[in-house]
Amino acid sequence: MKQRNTLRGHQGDVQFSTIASIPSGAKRVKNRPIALGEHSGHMHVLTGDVEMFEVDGRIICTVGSDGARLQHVHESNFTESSWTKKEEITKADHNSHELPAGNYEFWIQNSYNPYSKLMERVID
Amino acid sequence: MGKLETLTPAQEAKIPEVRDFWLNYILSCKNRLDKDKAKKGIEWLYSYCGKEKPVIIFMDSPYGCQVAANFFFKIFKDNKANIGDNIGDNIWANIGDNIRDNIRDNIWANIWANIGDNIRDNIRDNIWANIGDNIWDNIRANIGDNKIEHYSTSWMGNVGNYGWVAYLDYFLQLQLIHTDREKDFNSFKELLLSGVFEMIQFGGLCIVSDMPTKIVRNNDGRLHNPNGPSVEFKDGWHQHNINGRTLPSWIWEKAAAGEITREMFIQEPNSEIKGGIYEVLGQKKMMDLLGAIEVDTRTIVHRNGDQETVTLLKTADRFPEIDNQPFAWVKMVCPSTGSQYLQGVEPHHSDALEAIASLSPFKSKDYSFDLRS
Repeated sequence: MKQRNTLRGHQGDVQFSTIASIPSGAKRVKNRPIALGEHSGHMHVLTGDVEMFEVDGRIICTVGSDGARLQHVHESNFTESSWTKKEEITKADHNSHELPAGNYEFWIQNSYNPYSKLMERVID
Repeated sequence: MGKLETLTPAQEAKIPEVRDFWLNYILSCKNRLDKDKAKKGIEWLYSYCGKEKPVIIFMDSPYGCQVAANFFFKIFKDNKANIGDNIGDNIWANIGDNIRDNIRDNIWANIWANIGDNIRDNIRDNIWANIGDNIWDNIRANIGDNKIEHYSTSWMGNVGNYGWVAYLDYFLQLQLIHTDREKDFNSFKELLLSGVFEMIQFGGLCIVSDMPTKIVRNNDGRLHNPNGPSVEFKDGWHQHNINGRTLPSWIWEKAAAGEITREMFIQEPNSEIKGGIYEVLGQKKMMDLLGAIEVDTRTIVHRNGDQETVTLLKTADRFPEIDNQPFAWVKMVCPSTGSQYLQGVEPHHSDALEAIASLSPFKSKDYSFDLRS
């Protein structure tokens, strides 16, 4: 079987892919939800051995050797201590994914607004 | 002592702390008007500007302030002079300008400009441009609709002052400057921190509004809420916005009641209102409202072996306000819940795979996933 060198995934409105390295200029930021529903209280979070970076509005994460889990949870089930744990939290809608060590970039799916003629981020 | 040339890491760290304190003071919607503190601050303000102690009327919203002002002037025929400009000029000349000059005498330009960008301008854009100004514009429009007179609000003693006050506050908190006006500045700051949203300042009479109880914004900081009011005050006065545009409340009311019809949408002459209806109804209801036909269906075989069917749909009609194009959507199915989702796509698409890939960072040939949920 042909070996693939990238891992690509899709969880609800969030898509991600492994990337070769952390982009230059990326700044380490406090881990935060990758996407946060404005009204549902749902959020996509990457928990476990994770460092988050930002550059030019891009969301980049490094997953360390202990791995991480991409989870879709309700904010009421999530506490500050949840960030470092890889265990599954009660899911909101979408199943979780274990991510192996590596560098990842995350994107939020767009939707085209014919009135603004812009691609806008989907917020569920 | 020479001018300050660089900031220490602790001084750098203080920048977001001061900025976020002032932003959160209003955006959290947790701070309410403290009448005793506000009374003390307003009496200080009038006294500082050489004015007699005013009668203070507390209202729940800026609109309530305008109604109260009309009541006093129309019912009581009590023609007091609006002294907002006079008080504003006095505070700016004696406190704002004075401390700003002190900063410029003691801090190098690159430092105060940097802090100005990060604190003053950031707060001004978030609070003044995106919220305060928007509400004031709407109130002026409402006042005209309701045949009551609009009275100018003060330019000193409202949430629009948070930017410059936070900027000066940064230097004073860190004791980077020393000024004999610090006590006066702190009195003005405490007035703002009494939960005053704004005031109408007359000679002998001051009408004060409480803070909003709700503010909902989009990622750009603009007032935005497809599901209800974007700003609300305690007395129920509210306004609706989509991406910063103030739109009539009937859109939300009729949408909730299921009263928006295809004919109503098509005959609506105002494209901003049509854009509002599009946002408030959401993709699914819009498609149901306008009717859509399937243009293309593709099956994607993902890297993990999952098969996903995606469908491109378009309205049969074209619409003048969107350049005589049809509305177009791509329909997909969530593998976790089985729910169908619709997302808007550009109308030129004829291939469902191209259409769904256009919503992602991936090209259509790479739109295939190892993990899906």
